[in-house]
Amino acid sequence: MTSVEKEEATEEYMVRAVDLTKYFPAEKVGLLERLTGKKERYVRAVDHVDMLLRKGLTTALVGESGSGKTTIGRMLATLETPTSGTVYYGDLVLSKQTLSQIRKRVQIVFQNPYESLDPRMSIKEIVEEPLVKIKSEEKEKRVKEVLSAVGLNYDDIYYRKARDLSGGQRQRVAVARAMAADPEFIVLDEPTSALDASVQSQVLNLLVDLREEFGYTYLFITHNMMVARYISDYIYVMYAGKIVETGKTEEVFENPLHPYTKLLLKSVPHLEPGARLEPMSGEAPSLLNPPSGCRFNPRCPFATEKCRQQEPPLVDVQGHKVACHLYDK
Amino acid sequence: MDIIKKALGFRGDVDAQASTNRSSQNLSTFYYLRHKKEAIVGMTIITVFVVWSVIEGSLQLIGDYLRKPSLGWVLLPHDPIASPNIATSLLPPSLSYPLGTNFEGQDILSRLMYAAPKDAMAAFLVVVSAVIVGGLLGIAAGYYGGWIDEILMRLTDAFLAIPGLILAIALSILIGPGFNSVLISLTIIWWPVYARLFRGQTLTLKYRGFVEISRLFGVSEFKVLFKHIFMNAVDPIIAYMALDFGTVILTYSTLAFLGIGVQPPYPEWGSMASNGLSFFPRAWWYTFFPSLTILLVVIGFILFGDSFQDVISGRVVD
Amino acid sequence: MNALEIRDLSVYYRTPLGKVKVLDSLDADFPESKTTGIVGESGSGKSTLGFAITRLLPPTAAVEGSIKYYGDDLMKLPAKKMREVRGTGVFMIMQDPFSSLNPVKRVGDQLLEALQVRYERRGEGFDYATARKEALKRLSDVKLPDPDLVMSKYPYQLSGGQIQRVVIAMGLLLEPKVIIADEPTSALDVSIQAQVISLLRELQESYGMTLLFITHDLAVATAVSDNVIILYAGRIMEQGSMADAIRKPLHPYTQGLLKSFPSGNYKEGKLYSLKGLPPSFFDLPSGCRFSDRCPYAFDRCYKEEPQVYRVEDRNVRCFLYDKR
Repeated sequence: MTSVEKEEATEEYMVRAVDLTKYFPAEKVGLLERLTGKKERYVRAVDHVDMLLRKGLTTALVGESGSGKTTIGRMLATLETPTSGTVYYGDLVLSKQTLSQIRKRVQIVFQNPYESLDPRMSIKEIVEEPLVKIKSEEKEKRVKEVLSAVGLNYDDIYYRKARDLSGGQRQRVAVARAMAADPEFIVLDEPTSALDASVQSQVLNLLVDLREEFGYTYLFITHNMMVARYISDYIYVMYAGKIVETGKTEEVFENPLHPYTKLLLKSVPHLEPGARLEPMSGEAPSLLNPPSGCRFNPRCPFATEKCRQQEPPLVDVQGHKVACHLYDK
Repeated sequence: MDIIKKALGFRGDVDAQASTNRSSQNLSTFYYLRHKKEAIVGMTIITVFVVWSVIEGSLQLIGDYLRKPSLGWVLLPHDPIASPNIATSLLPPSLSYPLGTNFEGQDILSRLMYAAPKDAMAAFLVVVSAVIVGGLLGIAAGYYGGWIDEILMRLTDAFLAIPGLILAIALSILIGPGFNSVLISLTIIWWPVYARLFRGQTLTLKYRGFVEISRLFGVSEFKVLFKHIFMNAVDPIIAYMALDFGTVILTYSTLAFLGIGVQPPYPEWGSMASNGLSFFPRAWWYTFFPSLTILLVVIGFILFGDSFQDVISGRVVD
Repeated sequence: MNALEIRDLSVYYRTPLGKVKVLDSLDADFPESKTTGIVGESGSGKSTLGFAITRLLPPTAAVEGSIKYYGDDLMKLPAKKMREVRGTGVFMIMQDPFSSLNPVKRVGDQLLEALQVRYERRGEGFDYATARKEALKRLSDVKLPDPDLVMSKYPYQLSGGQIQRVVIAMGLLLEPKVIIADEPTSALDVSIQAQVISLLRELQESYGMTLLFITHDLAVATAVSDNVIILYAGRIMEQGSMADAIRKPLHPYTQGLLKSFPSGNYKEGKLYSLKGLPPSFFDLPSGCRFSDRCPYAFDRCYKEEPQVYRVEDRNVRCFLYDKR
């Protein structure tokens, strides 16, 4: 155990991932192709990532598309099996034997509320789906409870189909369903990205309230820096399958260290008239064949020879952690 | 009306419009079908056919049960399986024989009406068993993938490679003549198409959020497969089924036309058309009216199925 | 000089449940060589406005009113003339850039085709070598590396950001006077969005084009626009300078949108949020369309719909500014 891991292990955590990796096969390699010596190629969606989600707090995971943030969320929600690495849920280690126990503690809310609710089922049926082993009178009581917790009136809504609701209402139903299972840990995968601005703030407030009331631990996945800043206590910034920076949210936003984090913040449009954006150059690399060394080096204005050859480790700098050779001693 | 409007939540943007069209699907399906001429014609034909088949079919069943087969033709103008009578042989359409008589002197209208339940039953049983067999296998192949998928798909390839009619003839001869053997052989050639359809639907459904998330709830696999996958997959397939009833009736009649299936003296549309052909064109009504009946019923299902498919696939814009 | 002048524009859609009015008597001027942000939530009618100007609305739509493009009423133009306006007069960039390119043709051929159209309309002769040079020049203008290579590729071989640049380059080749960009960045990543926004801004300034930027994101609109139109449920609620709208929003809806923009951390306090949802077109509130969500609504707001009031060089549709 490294000193970093030791320190993390002593904190009270809900979920801890060590050396988490997920490779997806890039193409189907059939029997014939294998015989002719065709090699399988992999998309390295998540590459040796450590994460610690503190109990009762919200950890944001930000990154652009293809950064691997959704894959991490799906692995931590047990919907995807890691290629390698270990995940601890409190006292349990993720394995086939513990899966059903862990699933009682974990829930996920997807980005697209149009996709995540069965269009044929009524709201009541949707929300009571997680309540597998509960008597029907108690089911109704529980459904009423969670629906009112997310600000929906049971009597107005229980008979409706998901397609009759607006985006914001659907996302509330999705949250209510996650709550019905009485989880400890909820993965929120871009829960507000599909919503209108005026509805987004309603849902963000609701999520904060629910966490405070029920003590949930959240992993909040988003591409929106401002939303991440608002919702989280801790933040992880991902780039091309790697964590580039992590720390307390205020610290990362007040003093971003990694060039990617800095440039990303400058790319976010603000409500300041006349302010010009300073976009970074280039595009995210292919994860089939990522750049050697630091994955950000082709776009980084400070890249040196070392960055092209050596992968920077995640090290403690000024109160948070960053993976960049600029901060090597 | 207000509730419907609210439920539709119609929004003005073009993309929003597209999505409301899809989401308002079930609300407006019957609205739409009621207002489309083809659909009305189709539904009328089907309703007449189905209602008559149920009435006549029940009478025949009760008649069989009470050993009083004549109950089967109490509603018909004449006895459809009367013994040959040279006096009434090959009479042209008239008031007492609206569609004429056949060589045996039996009333064609009565025979057509008497045969209807068998056709309805054949269509219903074949399509439903094909959906059950094809659904089970197709969903299993799509959901589990791997070698199950591989084997099943090659099997359906094999079935689809051989012309269905020829295969059905071969199978019916193999199993032996009769109504039941035709049903069995039709089901055997019919399920692969449904297996394909269900597999395709399953492949897209299994990555939908609501299917994935139900794994976290500890919902049993059977429930996931039935409630989420089958129930959602079946929607577009229902439209295909509506079309397919007509196709089954056509194939069933074709088999009868070729002399396979229901055996004389019991009437069957296809064999009536076939028998009448040797008296064509002198006694044109003999083959004309049975053929017309087959055509009408098949067209009825096609018109209805086609309009239904338009609604389901969202081809209807306004 | 105004590039576009919209007067009393209404757009209706026919639906199974009857006719709905999705844009209601819009009046707007789009001054030449300026960027106007058109901001609205889903269902505000913002995309409909873009399609109405280019006359690309679906056949179920009906339009009333006038849209003057340098004095010509586009609504009255015969179809053939309208085709000539499209592309070289008004060019539209769609949200999904793939839909504006032909998937089975190389990028280069499509750019040259666009040039051919321009040459033909101007009555100039088409010369392959010069055309190719110009296409390459425009591709480097939109900051695509290796323009030669890009020319030889098919659309599917490029990323979303690259495609959006190709479409912009095509727009530049046609030399339109007006570009309508309908959510051109909402399908793109933050860093790519910033690139495309800066590019559009730069090009607009250097070529003096008139840009209509349709978006749901007030912050994105702030980054590109000189002027802004805030749409809500088919009505213009506020209209004027972008900077003024951000510094001192007049309409309660604009104020609410601005305040609900997340900034800071949850520990510093709750986000402001507007209550309720945007209304459905089938069920518009009587009186002001924003009345049921407005924190300042009073009796009159529920009874009659406010007209447009002129306040500090801006237009606002709200009774709070009625000086009577």
